[in-house]
Amino acid sequence: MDAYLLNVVNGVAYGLLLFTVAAGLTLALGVADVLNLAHGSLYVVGGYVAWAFTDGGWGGFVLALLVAVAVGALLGAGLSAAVAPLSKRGHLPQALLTFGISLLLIQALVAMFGADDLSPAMPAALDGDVSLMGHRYPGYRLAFIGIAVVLAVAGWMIMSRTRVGARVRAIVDDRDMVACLGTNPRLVMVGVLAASGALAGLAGALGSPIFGPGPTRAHDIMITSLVIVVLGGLGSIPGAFVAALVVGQIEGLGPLIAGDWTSYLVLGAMAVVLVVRGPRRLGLAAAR
Amino acid sequence: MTTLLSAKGLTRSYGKLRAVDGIDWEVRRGQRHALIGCNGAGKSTMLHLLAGTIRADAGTITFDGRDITRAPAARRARLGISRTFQTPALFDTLSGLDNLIVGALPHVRRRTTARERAERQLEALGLGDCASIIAGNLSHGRRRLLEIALALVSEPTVLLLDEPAAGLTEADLERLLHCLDNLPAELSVVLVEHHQDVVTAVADIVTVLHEGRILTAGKPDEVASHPDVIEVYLGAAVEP
Amino acid sequence: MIARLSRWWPVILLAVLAAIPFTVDTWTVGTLSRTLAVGVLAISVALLTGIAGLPTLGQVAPYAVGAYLTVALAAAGFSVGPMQLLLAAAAGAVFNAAIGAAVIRTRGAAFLMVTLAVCGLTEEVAQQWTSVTGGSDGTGWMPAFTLWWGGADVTDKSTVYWYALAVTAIAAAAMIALNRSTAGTLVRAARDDELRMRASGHRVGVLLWGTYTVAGAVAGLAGGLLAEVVRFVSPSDVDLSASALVLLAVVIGGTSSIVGAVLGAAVLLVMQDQIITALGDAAQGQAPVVLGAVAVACVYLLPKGLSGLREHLPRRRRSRRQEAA
Repeated sequence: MDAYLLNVVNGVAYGLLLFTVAAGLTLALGVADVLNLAHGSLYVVGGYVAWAFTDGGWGGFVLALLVAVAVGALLGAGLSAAVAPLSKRGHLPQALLTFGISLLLIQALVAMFGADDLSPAMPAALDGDVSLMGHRYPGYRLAFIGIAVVLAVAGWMIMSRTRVGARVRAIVDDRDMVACLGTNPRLVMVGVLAASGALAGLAGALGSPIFGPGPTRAHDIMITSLVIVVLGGLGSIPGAFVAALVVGQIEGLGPLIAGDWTSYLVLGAMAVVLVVRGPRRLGLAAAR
Repeated sequence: MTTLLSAKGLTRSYGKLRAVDGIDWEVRRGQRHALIGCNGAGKSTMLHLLAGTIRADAGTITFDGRDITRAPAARRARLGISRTFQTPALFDTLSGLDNLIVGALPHVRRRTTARERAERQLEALGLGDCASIIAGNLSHGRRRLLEIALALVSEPTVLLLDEPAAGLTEADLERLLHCLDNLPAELSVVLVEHHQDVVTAVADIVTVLHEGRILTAGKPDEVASHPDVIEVYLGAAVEP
Repeated sequence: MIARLSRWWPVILLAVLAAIPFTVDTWTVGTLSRTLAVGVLAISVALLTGIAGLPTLGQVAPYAVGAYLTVALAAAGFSVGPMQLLLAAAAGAVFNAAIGAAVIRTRGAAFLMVTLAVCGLTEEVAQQWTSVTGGSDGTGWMPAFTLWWGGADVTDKSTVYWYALAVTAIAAAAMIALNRSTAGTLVRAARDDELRMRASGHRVGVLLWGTYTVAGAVAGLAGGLLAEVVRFVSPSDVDLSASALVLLAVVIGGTSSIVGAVLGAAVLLVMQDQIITALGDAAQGQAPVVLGAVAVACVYLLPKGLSGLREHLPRRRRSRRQEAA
């Protein structure tokens, strides 16, 4: 039993990291109807920012987080401008465009930072190992779990207690609501993609000691987040939260149980959910 | 006339709103039955429940002695329940003839039979000129008629019409009434409609829905003079 | 005159394509053979994306199944080319039938996302199942195929190209016939309005599952062809970039056009090749940049693909018919 503990904690950390990424992705889909395949590369941008700004002290750490959020938001807003002319053409051109942009972005980052996976220098207080029920465990992961929980609670408060959150929920329920709410749809789109990008950038910076930036990281994190968004239901943040924690546990415990077959477990779980849930959740029923 | 399609205790809610609230209702063979009521009375939900587009929370639906409460829309269609949609739903990249062939295929064995039926149905509704035109390029009025033809080509026993007169010009309305007038006598029709003239011209019996329940039912003229209806429905119907 | 010519365009196109080996060097012929294999994959993507309305990035999975199976068959001493292709197609069909049961439950953006996950998994399997795939190094040099039992090895570049062209033409003709058949009409109808399909009594799930299976067969065939003409398969043949390139090719070709898909793939691959050759050493490892830039450019500049360029003509004709109605 004891042997599983570290894997469970690892799974929680990974799940929360995935949730931070997937929340932005599902928000962009649910509110702005944008399928953003460059989301994974924004995560990587956050990671490189963290590597560039951290210096082993607290000041550098906080600065890195702020810069990662700002850069993520800026790139997100840029993406919203890029996809704006495609609004009437469905998801396919969006997917191709954002995928193309992500290829360019990743290639530019590799040119700047090299092709190796990097690991930033975190504040010494977070960097060492701590004792967790008699096991040595990386202290940063526990700290990350704490920060991510705070973020999730803050996000939940914003969504459930503020006017902005209420509007966002209304738009996810029925996208035609944007017009009824008297909000400028362009503004909604820029705002949502900027927020989504900021989340990805923040996740990239916070997650860099766990999953550091590198050329292949963007696709890996992107695909897992997409699976989480599908599992949780497009546009559903609570759904993404549950799905991310489940996927985190599968990835955490999987190596002990299924060995090399772990990545099939995640896809297998997705297949089971799709088959069981059936076509009723497709948004077809009562569409008219 | 025997009962063809019936609902017992039919209920469906959206969140806290009970759109259809424990309705007992039936349509007999060959009957022309109109469902009327103000917006939000539950007419459209009722039609969706009968067609199988949405599932009932409670209650049962029986068709031709068979319990179809849990049957999906496609199965109900194969049993003989056909429908139209509020906005005409057609296969927009196919020709008028191909639309009807697609509509007939689940109900016949051979493609040639489907084609014959489709051509006959187009002629019957005076839509011969639409046969080779891509459906997406037709006018609203023609789309409406073509969708009715698409619903009829399966030779159903009951036809569910969702606001067929909505958005039609005078001339198109004339054609629609002519078409509804000439439906086969043994076909049962359930009509959801706001347009009073269409209801009077088509229906033998009218059920008035109000807030998810049946307010009253009867012959069109009886219903029109019913005091509850005048208060609730006609009062509201005066709005522009 | 033009009308009569346009009836013969498939023959003319084939004749022109068949004459290519006489005009270019053997290295280019080899590249074009590979292009045809990717073109067949593009046909399967066009069938799903354009005709069935299910935009997919996951067709590299049955493609990989077909490709690695063919390499394995050849390594085991079974070298009859057409039979390799049939088995590859069958394997692709079985594979897609299996995963289709789950994948086909989604539509639109969710379908794209799920198939992207399938694509990611394909690349991972290709990297990690080293006993079959050789990992990131790719498979070893595959033995050449023969045209029939006991036939000679086909190694001449031009012959390989004509063989690939014949396979491509057969696959394209079969899919065009399928698209025009009753089954094709039903698939297009389901793309146009799924609710209406159900309301008319059609089992849409079964229909789309069947389509997904057929697309798997075509992709498996494409994979087999790739293995036969290149005689080497590596994970980079079946990764996300490969998948996106094919989807882009299909969009360039007009999304639902079978011939357009093959030509789109040819245009993209040749263009990528030309740009990388022109850049010389500077282009080392920059293939993703070229693909990314082309993707961005195409989305903005060719909203309806290359076929959209000649669109004003049929549209005028259509509006006249609309007036008549």
